[in-house]
Amino acid sequence: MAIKKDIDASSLAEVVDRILEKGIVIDAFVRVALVGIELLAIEARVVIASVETWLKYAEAVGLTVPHKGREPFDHHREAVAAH
Amino acid sequence: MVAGKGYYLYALFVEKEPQDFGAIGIVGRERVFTLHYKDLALAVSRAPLKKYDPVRKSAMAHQKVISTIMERYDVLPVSFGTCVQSKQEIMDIFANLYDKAQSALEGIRNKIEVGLRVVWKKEFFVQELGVANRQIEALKKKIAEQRGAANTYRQVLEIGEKVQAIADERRRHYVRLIFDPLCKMADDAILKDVTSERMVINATFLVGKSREKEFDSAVNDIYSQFSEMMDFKYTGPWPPYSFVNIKITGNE
Repeated sequence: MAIKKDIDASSLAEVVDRILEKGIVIDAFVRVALVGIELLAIEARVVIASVETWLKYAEAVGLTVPHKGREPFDHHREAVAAH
Repeated sequence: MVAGKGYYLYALFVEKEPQDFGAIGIVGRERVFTLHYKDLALAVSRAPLKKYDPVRKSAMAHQKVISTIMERYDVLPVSFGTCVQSKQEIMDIFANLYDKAQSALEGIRNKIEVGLRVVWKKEFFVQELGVANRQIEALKKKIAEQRGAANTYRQVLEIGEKVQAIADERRRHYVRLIFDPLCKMADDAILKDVTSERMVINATFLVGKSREKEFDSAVNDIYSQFSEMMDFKYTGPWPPYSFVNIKITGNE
């Protein structure tokens, strides 16, 4: 069976991935300089993001984390602390 | 009412004569028409000066306008959500952009973009993991037996980390078998980050129109080799969004 390329069947993600900050980007607006604050927030997020990624990969092979009346956030905090 | 309105920008292309692409604008189906500078045209429509969110309706409308223009021209797409207040601003942008636009147009002349996403079928994803699978099965059993044990969460994380490493290693293998041969036929190609756990390849290619059919059949040849284990999503022809990269400041 052959596959044919198509644009109408493409997902929103595929479209947005192409049209945002691609092509001719005209920075016509003054952006408020929050760079310092953003960098701090990103660093804190990196550790949590990798924990989330590993959980998703575990889930992709059918492993789910058992819950015992604890919030996922507690698990995260514990895992981040142990990291 | 026109007061308070600006212009929404779609794409740049070579054309000296005014063109009308119909009432397909991103806001309120305004007419998409052209403004000109030397031998270049910029497709625009009247639209409010505001921040545009890439929600489905707007993103698809923006895409559709540029695809419509691409039916007749080689286009340099403008990034989503770009709007300016006045024609004078557009003329400033033109002047600022002109030289960069010339060389960018050269790079995409008679070319299209096509996208390819390859995803492991669920059962084959597990198979790809090979020996690690035994550890996964053992842990699954253990979790089922002693629900909520203190260290289970950490073990699940460890397995997840291992699965990710194996998946990355397998991806590199398939990049050689799927992406590399297609890359050789394309004028340019980008291997993008995968966006889900089971995604093997997320790539986009710049392909000469004269080689479009050849490229399609190469994708099909590869698909026939892997169709049992993977799903292929082949999209296009797109305007060359990913292969135009011009950044300018509006009030330079």
